[in-house]
Order: sequence, then structure tokens, then C-alpha cells
Amino acid sequence: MAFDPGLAAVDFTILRSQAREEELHYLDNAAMALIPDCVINAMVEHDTLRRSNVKRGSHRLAEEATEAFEKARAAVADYLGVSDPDEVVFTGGATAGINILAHSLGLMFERNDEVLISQLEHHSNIIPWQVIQQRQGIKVRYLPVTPDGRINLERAEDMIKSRTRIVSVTHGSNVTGAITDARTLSGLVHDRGAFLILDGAQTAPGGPMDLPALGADFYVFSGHKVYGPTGVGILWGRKEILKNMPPALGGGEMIQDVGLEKSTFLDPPHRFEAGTPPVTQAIGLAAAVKWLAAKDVKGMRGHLRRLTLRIMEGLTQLSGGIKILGPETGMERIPLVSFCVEGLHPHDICQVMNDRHGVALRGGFHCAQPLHDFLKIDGTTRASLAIYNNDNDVDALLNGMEDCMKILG
Amino acid sequence: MSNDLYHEQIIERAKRSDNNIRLENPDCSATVSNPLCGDRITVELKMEGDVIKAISGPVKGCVLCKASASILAEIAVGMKCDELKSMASDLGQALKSQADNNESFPKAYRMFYPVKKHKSRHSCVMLPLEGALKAISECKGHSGDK
Ligand SMILES: Cc1ncc(COP(=O)(O)O)c(C=O)c1O
Repeated sequence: MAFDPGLAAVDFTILRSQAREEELHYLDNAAMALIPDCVINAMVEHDTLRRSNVKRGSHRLAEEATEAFEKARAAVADYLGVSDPDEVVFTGGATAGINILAHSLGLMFERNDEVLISQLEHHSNIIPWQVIQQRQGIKVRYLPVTPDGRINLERAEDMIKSRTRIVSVTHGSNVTGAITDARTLSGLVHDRGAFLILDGAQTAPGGPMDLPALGADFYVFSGHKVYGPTGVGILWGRKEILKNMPPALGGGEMIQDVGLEKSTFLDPPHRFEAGTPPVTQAIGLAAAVKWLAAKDVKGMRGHLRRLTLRIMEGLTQLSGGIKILGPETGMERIPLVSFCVEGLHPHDICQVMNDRHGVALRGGFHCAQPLHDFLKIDGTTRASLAIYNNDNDVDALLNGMEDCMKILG
Repeated sequence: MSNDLYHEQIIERAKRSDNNIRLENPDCSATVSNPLCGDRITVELKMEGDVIKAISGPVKGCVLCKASASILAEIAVGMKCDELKSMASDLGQALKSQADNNESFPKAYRMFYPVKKHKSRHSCVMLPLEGALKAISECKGHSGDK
């Protein structure tokens, strides 16, 4: 039976027509997905009935909250397909996860060590490494991008050197939609004794996964892109590596014994969760991934592939010179399409699409300026899909773009 | 008066803006950009004492930015630095004001009234003026604040 996105859409108050006065075609999911009611309810229920700080108290509420928090960790581990929940660290989001890694692993670097990232990265996987570069005299190098917006893995073999300690790349590009072949890359990385970090911000929403099979050592993502709340994210790491890493942040909840000169730290994951963690949000994130896992995920993937293809083909057919970024139709990509229209500015397109067609898009650099510089484009317009999007949304996008090109062209 | 952000007047204005004329030997110039959307504009000025004699420069921006630059290119010639400064300040205030009419807008900029309710786009309209003010401030001997 064909996948019915309506069965997901009914779970969102914001998408039920009576909740809004205007039409809404929400195609900005790569920036933030909408949140289903059950996730909001799980957080309300937690704060209503079990609110307390975790790991600190022995009273009943503290114990219940701690148990709920650790259950949330286990639910995320389940979603990722990892057997040990202690490999799952709650963070503030993908950006926080990469920063924790950069600062912790950075303490283990020596001068002239190298970190290899790529030109395809989101700023959140560039700036933390540049900070470490400045502070510690390491070198950040960039894997090039192919003309069709993929990381050029053919160059990886000669760019990963004996001084390369970390390779940190996007698993799925928020601009070109390209998916990185993690398994091939991890082989090359491990041959040279380096670690592989995957930025999973755009691949985590694809449904339950078998993370260990990707061969990476670390994986980060944000709650708000997987139908969860803001302010929470995940850093997953292999336990044998996490165990030997120094903390990036210090504070309560991560210490074993505190002295005036020296302190000792808890084992992972707590070593990397300094201070009060985002308890309520962690509970929301767990509810979100459970909600998604209970859907027909295989059907969703096929449905989103089909809609993505419709967008790519539909845009190509519009006259006026639309250039689509990323892998050609037929190649695997995450469900988003970024494009440039000759002579039109992305912000003008987004405004007209919103004002006249109720289509929510995103325009600009998408926090990936080096990629836009490399491709020599001044910004792109992006449509990104999620489980509730349907053919009407695609029709609104394509009809709207036709109108938009008439008005602005 | 249209409430549609992209009404004909603005679009026509933007189309009329000539992006690439450069001044020969400008007295001063400045480049300003909006990191959010990548708009970038360079303003070149020729001055005679305190008076703007010629203005031009490349504009890479959205329709609002281009239309605003086109208006500026037309009205800035003959203006004193202080006049430009106070016009920019009036426009900034008008965009932020609560008034439900366009009367507080400098005359030449009244077409931007519908931008008022789109806060994220105010900077698109202001960018050319900011560029001109920055150019003036970098213009030796013609500092806007005498
Ligand atoms: C590929 C990619 N990496 C990292 C991030 C950063 O996520 P956050 O801002 O939630 O930390 C994003 C968000 O847009 C992203 O798309």
C-alpha cells in the first residue's frame, strides 16, 4: 500500500487546517522539522509529574526524573542501533556535539597534527576546528567537492596523511543533499589510524539506523531536525575512544572527586555532560524518535524519494534557467533540493513564495559559505521535505515558482 | 498604496538600477554586506566640499536592495552629507515605526512602506544608505561630522 503522509500529518496541530488561517506548505524541514503533539505532551507530562534535577537527589522525584532521563538515553541508543546507551551523550545540538569533540580531542593533539574536513561542511563543522587551529597550531585541511556537490572521496586517499588525527565530514549535505559514503571513507581513515566524525544533522531524520555499520567513530545530530524539541542533541562515540578522552566542559554532574588542585571525572557519557543536562528536551527527543520509528519508515523513504524527484524534474521543466545543485536524479540524496534561478535573488524568491503561495522555503548560504564560494554562487533557495509533506506541497512549490519567475523575472 | 511587498513600483525600480557603472577616480568608496543573505554593495562617491557630486557602484542584492540603491543614485547627487545622514536615519525610523501610513517615510522611499512589517528585510533597504554613509566617513576631508 502506498505511504500516506496524511497519517503522519494528523499528529501535528500546526498542520491540521483548523489550527491556522492561511495555507502552509512547510518545506524548511532541513532547518527545523515540525514537532508532533505527542512529543510536546511527553515533555509536558514529564515536567508536570516528574520534574526534578537528575543524578543529584535521592528523593522520589529525583529518582523518577533520573530514570526517565536514562530511559530516554536508551531510546536514542535503540534508534541509532547501538547496544550500549553509555555511548550516547546528551548535548545541546549538533553544533555543541562537534564543539565538545573539537575541544576534547584537541587537547590530545600535537602541533602540526591535521584535521581533515571538507568544503561541503556546515559552519558548525568548520569553525570549531578553526578555533583549535588558532589555539594549538594544528592544521585544518579541506577535502574538495565534486561539481555535483559531493565530497570528492577519490582525493581522500592522498589527503589523509600520517599526521591526520581526525576526519570530520557531513554525512548528508544540507545544501546539495549528497550523502557521503561513510563506509568507504572509514576504511581509509582507519587505515591511517585516524578517527572519523560524521555530522548526522541531515541524516538522522531518515529513521532508525544501524550506526555501527557506517564505520564511524563519532556521530552527532540535533533533536529539532528529527521532530524533537530545540536545545537537545546527541553525540555518539565508540566507548573505547570516549573512555580515553578528557572532558571538554567542566562542572557538576561529570565529576567523581573534586579537590582544590585536581579532580577526577566520571566515565562516559556523564564525563561529557557537565552541568544540568536538558532533561525535559531529552525526554522529548526520545518521544520523537520512538514516534518516528513506529511509522512506516521504509514507506516514508520511498515517498520522500519520489517527491524529491518530482521537485527536481518539475523545476528543470520550468523555463527561466533553474540550476539544481547536487547529485543528478537517480543518485541517492537526502530529501532536499537547492537551486539557483538566473538573475533572481533567493530572498526575493522565498518572500514571494511565502506571501503569495504559503510555501516556506529557505534562501541564502545555509551556513555553508565556503561551499557557495567554491561553486561561485551567491546563495541558493532550498526546499526540504519531511514525513508529512505530500504532492500538494510539491504542486504549490512548482506552481509558485512559475508565478515567482513571472513576477520577479 | 500597495501592501504587497513586491509591488510593481519596486520591481520596476529594481530593474532600472544599473549595477555595474563605476566612477572614474572616486573620492571615496566603501563596501558593505549583509552576512545573512550575502548582499554586497560598493558605493563610490565624488564630492565637492560637503556635497555629493556623483554616486555609483556595483550592487549584488535582492530586489529591495537594488530598488533602494537605484533611488539613492538618483536623489543623492546634490545632497549634503548631513542631509543624507538624516534621511537615512528617518528611513530607519520609519521602517521601525508603528504608524499605519507611509507619511514618516522620506518621500522618495515611500514605496517601501510594505517592507515595514517584514523586519528581516529592513536591512535590505538600508544597505545602500549604510554604504554611502560609510563611504562618506572614509572620505578624508569630507567627514560627515564637521
Ligand atoms: C549539516 C548540518 N550540520 C550541522 C548543523 C547544525 O545544527 P544545530 O544548529 O542544530 O546545532 C546543521 C543545521 O542546520 C546542518 O544542516
